[in-house]
Amino acid sequence: MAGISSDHEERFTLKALTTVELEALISATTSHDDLDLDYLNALLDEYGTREGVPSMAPERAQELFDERILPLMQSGNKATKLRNRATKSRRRRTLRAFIIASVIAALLIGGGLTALAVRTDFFGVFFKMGKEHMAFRMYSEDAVTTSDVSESIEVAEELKPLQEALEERGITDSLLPTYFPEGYEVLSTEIYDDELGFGIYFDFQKDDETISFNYSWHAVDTVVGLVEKDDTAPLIYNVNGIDYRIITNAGEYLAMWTCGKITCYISSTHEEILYEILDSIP
Amino acid sequence: MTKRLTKIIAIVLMLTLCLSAPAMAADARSSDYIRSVSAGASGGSGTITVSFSITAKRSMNTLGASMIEIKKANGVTVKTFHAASTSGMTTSSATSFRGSVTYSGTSGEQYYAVVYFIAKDSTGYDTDSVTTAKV
Repeated sequence: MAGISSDHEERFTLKALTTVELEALISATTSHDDLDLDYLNALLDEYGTREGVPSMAPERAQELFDERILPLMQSGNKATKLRNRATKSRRRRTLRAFIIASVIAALLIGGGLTALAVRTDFFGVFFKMGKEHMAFRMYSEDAVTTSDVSESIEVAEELKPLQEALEERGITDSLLPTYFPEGYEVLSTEIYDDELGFGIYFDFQKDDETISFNYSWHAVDTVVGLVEKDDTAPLIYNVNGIDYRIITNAGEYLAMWTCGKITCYISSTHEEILYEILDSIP
Repeated sequence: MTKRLTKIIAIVLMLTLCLSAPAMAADARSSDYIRSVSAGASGGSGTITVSFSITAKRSMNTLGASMIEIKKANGVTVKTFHAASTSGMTTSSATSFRGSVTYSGTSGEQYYAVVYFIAKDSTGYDTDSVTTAKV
């Protein structure tokens, strides 16, 4: 028989009733099987404020109740139930959202702290897959030219087409090794020329092992580059006055250096071979 | 019962994430696709020409720049070149590629470019991006 959702609404509703209606309501409430004492008290309290009003016969009160109050209470109950249900649903949704937000926050904080503890780039894992690069910039004033000795150097037979490609583009600096391991065959050669420079790429292969040579030149004031790497710090390896940056990247060893505006890379899947090649660059 | 289950799932998730983050990071901190990328810009009098190059670790189905954004010095993008609608930005079946695009803007304005690289084959893909100097 709880038909009123709040004290305020209850008071408001009861005040709106006439004394006759109030009496009918009291009569019906007391005769109801599921007696709501709080509600009855509220009715009696309200009735207490209306003393002096002559009472009504119970039959008439019941009649009035059936006519006027019962339909109102039924519709009121329905609306109240719906209101209660909506309120509960809202609360449940809020609670659920709060739990989900808490779990996500806990995961992020926990993961972040762990990542911090092991010094990894946690957020990079998600937003850029935690990639590491060795970045470089080359400015025209940074030009470092090696000695012009290529004509006097006998490069390995396999590298002669590469030497010719460089010389055709006016590159006579010593960029090629005299040593080249046996058994490697040309896998691919790609040469690009345009008004903004050139790119010469030679790949060699022997079974699963590869060696790659890459020389590129951009005819611009500043070149920005990235070399993919794993979490091992680049190593500087100096031979014959040239600083080679040795970078490891997913099973590959790469030496990078610059000669003027030419960016040079030699990479190998075999670490020792890479060092032997670098040692033989004059 | 439901609350207990929720708690257990949350704890398991948290532990999984905490433990897997470093592992993922270690695996991801290298590329199976891209070896190196580079880009430069030249120009003047309101024109910028962007030159870029990329080398992959093996032959790729798609290799090059997927997108190049031309930006004013204040960071506002004034032009976007997409590989799908601009020729000469990508190639196929290659281990290396270089290309260029040119944009004619307003004289006296400084521009720079952000080059988004892609290397893709049947096993997956990788991306990188390089921001050039202002010209």
